[in-house]
Amino acid sequence: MKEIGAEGTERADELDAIGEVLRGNKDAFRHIVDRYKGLVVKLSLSFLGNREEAEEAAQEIFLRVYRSLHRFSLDKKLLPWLYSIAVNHLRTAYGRMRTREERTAAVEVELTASEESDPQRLVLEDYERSSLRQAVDTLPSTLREVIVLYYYQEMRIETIGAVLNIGVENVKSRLFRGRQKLRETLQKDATLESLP
Amino acid sequence: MNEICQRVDAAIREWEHGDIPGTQNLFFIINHSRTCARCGRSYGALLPLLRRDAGEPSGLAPADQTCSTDFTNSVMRRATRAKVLRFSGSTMQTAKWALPLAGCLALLLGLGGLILQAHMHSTAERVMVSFRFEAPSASQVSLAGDFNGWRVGELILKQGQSGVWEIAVPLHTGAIYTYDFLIDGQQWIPDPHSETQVDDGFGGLASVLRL
Repeated sequence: MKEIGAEGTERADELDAIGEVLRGNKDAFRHIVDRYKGLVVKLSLSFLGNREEAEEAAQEIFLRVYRSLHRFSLDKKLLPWLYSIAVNHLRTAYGRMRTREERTAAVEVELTASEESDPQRLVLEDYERSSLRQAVDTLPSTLREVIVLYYYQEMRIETIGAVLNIGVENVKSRLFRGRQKLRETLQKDATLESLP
Repeated sequence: MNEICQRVDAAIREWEHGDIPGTQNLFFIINHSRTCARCGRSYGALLPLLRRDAGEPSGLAPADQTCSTDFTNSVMRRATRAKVLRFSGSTMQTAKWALPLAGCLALLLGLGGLILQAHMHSTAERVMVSFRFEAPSASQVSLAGDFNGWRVGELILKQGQSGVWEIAVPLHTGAIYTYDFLIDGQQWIPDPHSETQVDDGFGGLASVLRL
């Protein structure tokens, strides 16, 4: 994954685009959308597990960014700020989606295929990822967000802290509690499944 | 539970607390979980997390970052239309009981006669705006605007008698909205009888509705 922050020319281009938008050239926002749409869609997919929902959420995230651009501090990096808006939006979008109870089937479709060729292993790993995802979805939102950002987005702990505006130790603590709860949930499910 | 299972249990607890499993330890856990029914059931689903922590491919991150081809254009379309202008004039406070129609005249296009009528029934802060649109030859008419984030396919008008389509939308007073109609999912049509029309940034016009 591309790390947060764009240096040199990219950073200058980004600031130029933001400045243009703030001066009224709306079309300059296209540069920002084109640059970050892949990351935002990927983030949305990690949270929602459904491509159609993820694209819609990603569009709404960019709309939020557009409307809030005047509040962006130009001495900061854009991506952490964008991610913060995205996570806030995805909390709501996820809640809406869960309410519609469409999620479980969609997750199974979007699971990343393993590169291994053993069919039995593929089936097993898909099943495990599906079980894991269902367990992740039962976590409290504070733990779930950290688990998704760390394991599904493969963000660094420092980056997660910046996005969620919490300290590194807090991120680590949530990761610990998240892992613990996942293990408890999965073991409980396994016990139930093994009953005659 | 044998000694190996106990070792796996201990390794999992250490991992929970943040101890990253080394490659050797990771493959020990994976291999054992694949052969031991008890540990497989308990820890199999956790293996992708352990892989990620050990720096191995986990298969969890969505590999595909591609978007639909129209993604950027769709965002730009919605972004340039998105702003809801707040109106603070006292005139609007008195006007909300007597809001006239946003547009009641005919618009003739290739589809046939198109008529928009907007009737408003006021409450304290919100008004129900009834949009009527005559398009006998259209198979679908939808409405999109600031009020729904310009999402298409969300506000579908119902066809009544004589090819007149209608929908009622709750809107807030004291605001200015922009909107358009979408005919058969393809043709955006501004209301030519709205007070004002503004450039939508894509070579078209958006209707302005002031409440």
